Amino acid sequence: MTPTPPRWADRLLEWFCAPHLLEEVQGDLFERFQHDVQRFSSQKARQQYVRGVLGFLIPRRGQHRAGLPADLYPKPDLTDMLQNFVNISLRNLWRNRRITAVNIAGLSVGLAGGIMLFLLVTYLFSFDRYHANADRSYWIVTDVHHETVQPTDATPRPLGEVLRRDYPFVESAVRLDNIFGRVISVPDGKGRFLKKFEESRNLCFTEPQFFDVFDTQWLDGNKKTALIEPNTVVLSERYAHKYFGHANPMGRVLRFDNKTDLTVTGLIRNLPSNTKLRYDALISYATVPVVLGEGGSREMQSWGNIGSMCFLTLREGTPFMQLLNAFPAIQKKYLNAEQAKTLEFCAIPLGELDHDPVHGGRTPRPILYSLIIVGLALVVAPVSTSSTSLRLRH
Amino acid sequence: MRMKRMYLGEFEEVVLLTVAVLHAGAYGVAITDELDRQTGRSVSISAVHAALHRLQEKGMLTSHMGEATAERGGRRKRLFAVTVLGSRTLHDIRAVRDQLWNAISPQTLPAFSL
Repeated sequence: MTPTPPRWADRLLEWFCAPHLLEEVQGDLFERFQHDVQRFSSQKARQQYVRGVLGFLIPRRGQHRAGLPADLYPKPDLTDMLQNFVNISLRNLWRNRRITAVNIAGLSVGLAGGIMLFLLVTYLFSFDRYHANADRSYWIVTDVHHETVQPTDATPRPLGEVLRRDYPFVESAVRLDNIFGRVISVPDGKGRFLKKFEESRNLCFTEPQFFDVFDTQWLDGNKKTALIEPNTVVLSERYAHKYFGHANPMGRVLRFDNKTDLTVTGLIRNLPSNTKLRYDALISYATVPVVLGEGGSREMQSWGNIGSMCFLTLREGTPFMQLLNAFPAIQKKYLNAEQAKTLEFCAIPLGELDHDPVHGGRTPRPILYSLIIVGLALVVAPVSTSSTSLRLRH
Repeated sequence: MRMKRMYLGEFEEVVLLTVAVLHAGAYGVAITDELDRQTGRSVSISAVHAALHRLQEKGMLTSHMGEATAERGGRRKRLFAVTVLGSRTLHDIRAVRDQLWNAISPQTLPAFSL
């Protein structure tokens, strides 16, 4: 039996080789194969044949355009046309290389700037909109009417409880007291302290309902019960690490302002950066009277002192007006004549928390909208100017 | 004095010369084998094919299909011949080389190194 070249290599060659070149190419390879069989062995010859076929797969200048009459290979490939377009555009770009360089630099800077601005605006618009109940959650604030209107970001302490208790359309309401400039220390168990930290902004007193209104991811502890008892605290991963290192923080004790102890009853994931309520230590609201000391419980019931932030979630399908209509009734029932004249409650949708400059929002909507316009201008301007310069040249 | 010469790569020049050496019988395998014999360069058939087509594009070679033979499995071979332009280009190259060699004093490039 006469040896033959490997079938698959032949097939491969027939598949990729330009049809008008196939005969001479295959003929040459076959002739070489016959020689190799005689000179070496059929096995070596087959190896060489495969190598020869693969050699034609390497792109080489001149292989595809052999200068043969056009009718031998009448139909140009679609890719030939595309290749032609690419060639022409590259040639033009290179011919006007100075303009090309300016255009490309301008376009890329503009595009990069535009994309950055859009990312920034998207981020700023995402603040506190990620909570599952965000679309029916509101922030309650008090405007104080004297000679002028003084907006505040808080409410009298009893308001949250009243809303939760007396109004069935309120699914959940939570009160929250910010903490500024208090010292948290880590006891070493022998009456001394290992570490002391002065804390501001990252700490708050809040109720278990915090976790109904705002989404948090729990690593340890029970989110229903963790903040019921006085002297309990829920820590973020970050702060657990800050206070206790790698040791398990659950059940450990912290000293608050050298006044009272706090037992760690929960561990949550760090809150994302796009929330205005980015707390790392949530202390139970029942601890507030303990810290206030004498007269604490009276203070908790005072309507004259605007001391707590208040957030609530309405039941699904409750109209916003129903909430607004509840405020005058509360004023009538609980406030004395003078307070009723000066205090006015308002509700702001949770997603607007950071867009209301009157109540401490940092990114008012008009600024965000103008950023979008600037971003669009950055993307569009280089395109239009580059086409203008082209028209000028023509 | 001299017209601007067509560009030829070194490999192209060698292939073109080999076609001239083989005279009437210049086709892919024969050129490859002759290259091996004359210069000791073992090159792949595909490289030779690509060079041949490049040369044909530049107008230095013409080609026509030859007879079918049994040793090629009944396939025809493409036979190449040097054109007038190819011949003139080779002569030009040689003239330039000769001119340069003649301008070199014998001591500068001794034939055998010590």
